[in-house]
Amino acid sequence: MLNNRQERITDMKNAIKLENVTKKYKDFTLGEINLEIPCGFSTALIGSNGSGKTTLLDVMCNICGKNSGKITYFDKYTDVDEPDVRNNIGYCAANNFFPLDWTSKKVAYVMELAFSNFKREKFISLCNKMKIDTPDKRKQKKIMKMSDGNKMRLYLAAILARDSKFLILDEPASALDPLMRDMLCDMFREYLAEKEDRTILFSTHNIADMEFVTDYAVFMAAGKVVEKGFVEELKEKYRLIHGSGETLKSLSQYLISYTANSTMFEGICLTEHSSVFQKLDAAIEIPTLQQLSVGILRKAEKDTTEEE
Amino acid sequence: MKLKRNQIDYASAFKIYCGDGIIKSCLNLIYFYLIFYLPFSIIFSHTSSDSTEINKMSDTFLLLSIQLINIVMTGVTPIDKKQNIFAKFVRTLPNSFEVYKKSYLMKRVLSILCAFIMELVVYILNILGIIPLEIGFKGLVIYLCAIIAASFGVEFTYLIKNQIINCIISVIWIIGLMVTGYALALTVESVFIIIIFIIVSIICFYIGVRTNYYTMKKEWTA
Repeated sequence: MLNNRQERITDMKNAIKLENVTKKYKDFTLGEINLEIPCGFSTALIGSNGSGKTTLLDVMCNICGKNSGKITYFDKYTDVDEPDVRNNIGYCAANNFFPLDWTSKKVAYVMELAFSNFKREKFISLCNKMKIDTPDKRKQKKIMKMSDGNKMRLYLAAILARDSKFLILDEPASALDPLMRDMLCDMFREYLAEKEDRTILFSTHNIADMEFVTDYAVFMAAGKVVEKGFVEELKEKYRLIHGSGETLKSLSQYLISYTANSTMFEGICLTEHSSVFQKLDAAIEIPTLQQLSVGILRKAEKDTTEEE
Repeated sequence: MKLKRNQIDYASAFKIYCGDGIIKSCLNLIYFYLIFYLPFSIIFSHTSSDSTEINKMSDTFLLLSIQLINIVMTGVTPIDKKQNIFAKFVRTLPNSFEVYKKSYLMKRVLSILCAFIMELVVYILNILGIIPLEIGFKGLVIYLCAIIAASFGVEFTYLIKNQIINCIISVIWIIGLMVTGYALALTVESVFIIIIFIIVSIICFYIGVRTNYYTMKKEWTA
C-alpha cells in the first residue's frame, strides 16, 4: 500500500506549502512553520488545545493574516485570494461558520451565488444523507436552533457539495456522534476517490475515530510542528513498549515518552532502539495513531515545559 | 457593465452580505419603520397640536425615528466586525474583499435611499393632513442632508475600538446633528444654502465611506 502511495508521491504536488510562516498574537506565537501538505491524501492535524491548529488553518486560508513567511497553493499560487485558489479551497470553521439566522435554504442560495462550483443537487443529496433540512423543505430550521452536531452536518454538506480540490476542516468530527463520524470517514474516502488531485486537511482530537481516514499526520505543540509524516511511515519509525518498572529504570533514556505506575510502564521509542527492550522481555508493538499522538505530544509538552 | 471573470456584481454581493435581495431588504426596513415608528409619530403629533413647542418636539421625534432606523441599518453589521462569524465566512469566498466592498457600498447607498423614501412617506402624510409638520419640504431636504452627513460621523466612530467611547461619541454626534439639522430646517429658506447643504452632505458621505473602506482594506489584507 505504501509503495502505491510512494509512486503517487513521486509525481505528487503539494496542496499547500508553508515556508517560515509565523503569526504573532499577544500571548501566542505560531511558527516558524515549514510544512508541506501532500496532494491526494487526507492529512490530520493533531495537537493539544492551544497548540495552534486553528490559527494555522486560519493563516492558510488568510482568515487571519500571517506576520511573515510564504504560502504556496497547489504548487502555483502565492495569493490565496486568487479566484482559482478560493474556488478550490473548501474551508469550514470549528464553531459557527454561517450566520445563525440562516437556514439550509439560505446557505444553498448564498453558496450558489458565491461559488461557481457549488452543486445544489449534491447539496440536497448530502442533506438527505446527513438527515438535515434540505433547501427545498417548506419549514426551514434556523442554524441557531440546530444542535452542534446538525450545524456541523450542514457546514460539511455545504463544503462537500462544492467541486473543490482542497478541504480545510477545523475539527469536523468533534461535534458529531460516532455513527456520523463513521459516515464522515466514508465521505472523506469518497471525496478523495472521486478525483486524484483532491486533498483533505483536518484538525482533530478524535484520533482513534479518524485514524481510518488519515494518510498523513502533522503533530503540533506550542505553535510549532513537532512531527509529520505518512502514518504508515510513522508507525514504522516508532514502537510502543510495555514493560516492568525495572526495565524502565535501566532503559528510560531510550524512550521518547512514557507513562508509568509502580509496576508497569507504557511508552514509545524509535524502532531502532526497540531491540534494547526486546532483550529485557518488554512487549513491543506497532503503535496506533492514537498511541503515537499521545507519545509524541507528551514529549513535545515536556520539552516545552523544560524550555520555559 | 460587463463583469470580468469571477467578478461579483453589486446585487449578488449585497445578497451574500445580507442574505436577502436588495428590494426585500429595503422593504423590510421600510415596513419596520411604518409599523414601529410611524404610528407613534402620528399619535404624538396629534396629541400635541396646541403647543408650537411640543409640535416641534413631535417633528423632532418623527425625524429622529428616520435617523435612528438609518443608523440601525448602517450601524453594526456582521461584516464590519472582522473577527465575527460572518466575516470568517466571507473571507473564504473568491474575491472576498470585492464582496465586502460592493455590499458595503450598496448598503450605504440603500440606507440613504430608504431614508429618502421614509421622508417621502412623511411628506405625503403631511400633505394629506395626517401629520402636521412645522417644517416644510425644504426642511425635509435639509434633514435628509443631515442624515446623509450623519454617516460621516458613524464611519469615523467605527474606527474607535473602545465600545464605551464609541457609544458616547455616537450619541453626542447624532443628537447634536439632529438638533442642528432641525434648527436649520426651521430657519433656512434660501435655496442656494440648501444646495450647499446637499453638496456638503454628499462630500461628507463620500469621505466617510472612503475612510471606512480604506480602514477595512488595510485590515483585510493585514
